[in-house]
Amino acid sequence: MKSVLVIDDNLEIRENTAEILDLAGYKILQQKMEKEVWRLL
Amino acid sequence: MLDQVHMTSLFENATEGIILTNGKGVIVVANPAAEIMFGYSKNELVNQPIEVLIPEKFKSVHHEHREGFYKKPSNRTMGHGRDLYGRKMDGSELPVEISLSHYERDSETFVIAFIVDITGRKQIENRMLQQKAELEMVTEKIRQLNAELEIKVEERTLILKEALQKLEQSQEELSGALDKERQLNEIKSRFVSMASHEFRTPLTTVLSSASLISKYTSGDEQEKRDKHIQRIKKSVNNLNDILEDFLSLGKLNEGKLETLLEEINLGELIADTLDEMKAIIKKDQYFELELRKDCNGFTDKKLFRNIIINLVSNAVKFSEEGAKIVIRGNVKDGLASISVIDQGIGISDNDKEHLFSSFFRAANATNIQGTGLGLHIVKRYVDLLGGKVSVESELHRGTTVNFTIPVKK
Repeated sequence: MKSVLVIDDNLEIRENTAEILDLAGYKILQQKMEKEVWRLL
Repeated sequence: MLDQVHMTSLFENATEGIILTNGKGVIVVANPAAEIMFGYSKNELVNQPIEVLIPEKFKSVHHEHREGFYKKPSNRTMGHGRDLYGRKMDGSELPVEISLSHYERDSETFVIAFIVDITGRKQIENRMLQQKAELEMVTEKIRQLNAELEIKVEERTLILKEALQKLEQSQEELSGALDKERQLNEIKSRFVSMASHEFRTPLTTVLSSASLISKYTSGDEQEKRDKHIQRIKKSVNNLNDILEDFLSLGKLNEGKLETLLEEINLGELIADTLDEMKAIIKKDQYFELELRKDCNGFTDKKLFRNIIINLVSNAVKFSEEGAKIVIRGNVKDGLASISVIDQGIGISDNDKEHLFSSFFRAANATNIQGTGLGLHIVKRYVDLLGGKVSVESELHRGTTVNFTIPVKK
């Protein structure tokens, strides 16, 4: 299963986007800030 | 020893006039030089009183002088610096210099006068005096010209100064106009960046939540549908708030906002407003109201309420969950002083000076929703109510906004 990392500082937009991608069958990782993403990688 | 002939030649050929008078002032003898000098023929002067050689106006004085001289005779040399004049036979005057000496013979005092015609010298002197006077006139003229020149220079300097001042003034005006233009441009670009972000965020939420609702079709997905309906509502409210801010600003800018002063229980108004705002606070945030409920004042209820809402919603927005927000108030000597104190993200010194301008967002607030109009509107409302607003803040420590308005009837 393909993974998608969703980054947005706005909670609603981030969650909604993740939810839509989740329904489309992707594995979802969510992060709020860019620097947290770099830490994750 | 000179003999008589030599003595006579000396007397006859002297270029100075020589006149001898006796004790009564009568001329005993005059040499040719004296006769020529005064315009007389040979021996015409002999036996004449010496006063014939004195100008009319000095005659009486001369008589006295002569009497004095006989009483106490003394020799007098030439060049005493006194202007003396003789009278010629034709009545005209001539300038002379005279030396006097005397001798006694048979107890009579004889006086010898040596006379030099100084017409030439006088003429030179007069010419010099005239030249001196002319020189003085020229000097005076130069002085006058100098003075005039100085006045002119002063006048010109003044005109130049005025021109410079005007130039400076117009330069200031120009740079003022440019500043205004720059400020307007700044506000415009702030508006564009704010609008693109603040409108798009709730609209994107509305759009995505709406599409998700359409996907949750089964009966057990009601909870999910409800969550997105809440999101849509929240986003629409958000958009509504932005529009409210715009409307307020529009009214302010058009000068259409009028204040309606009435007696209000400020404590109660603040408490009621805070009650309504509990709906928007973050998790575990709480208000602390330090205010007597019975403090009354004359002010515009709507504006006052709006100020409180703006300040408190800022405090909520910029504070963490569980944070305390203090609202402190006091009415004293006809002045209401209100403070809204939070322990939120604070404002940098750099951003403080722009806080009250429209569409301004602090550097540490770009990720927090907002139009950048809240404090601007607060400032203008407080201005309308005749009050003052100030901000104390420290980054990461929190912000206190104070405002004071007159509430006397």
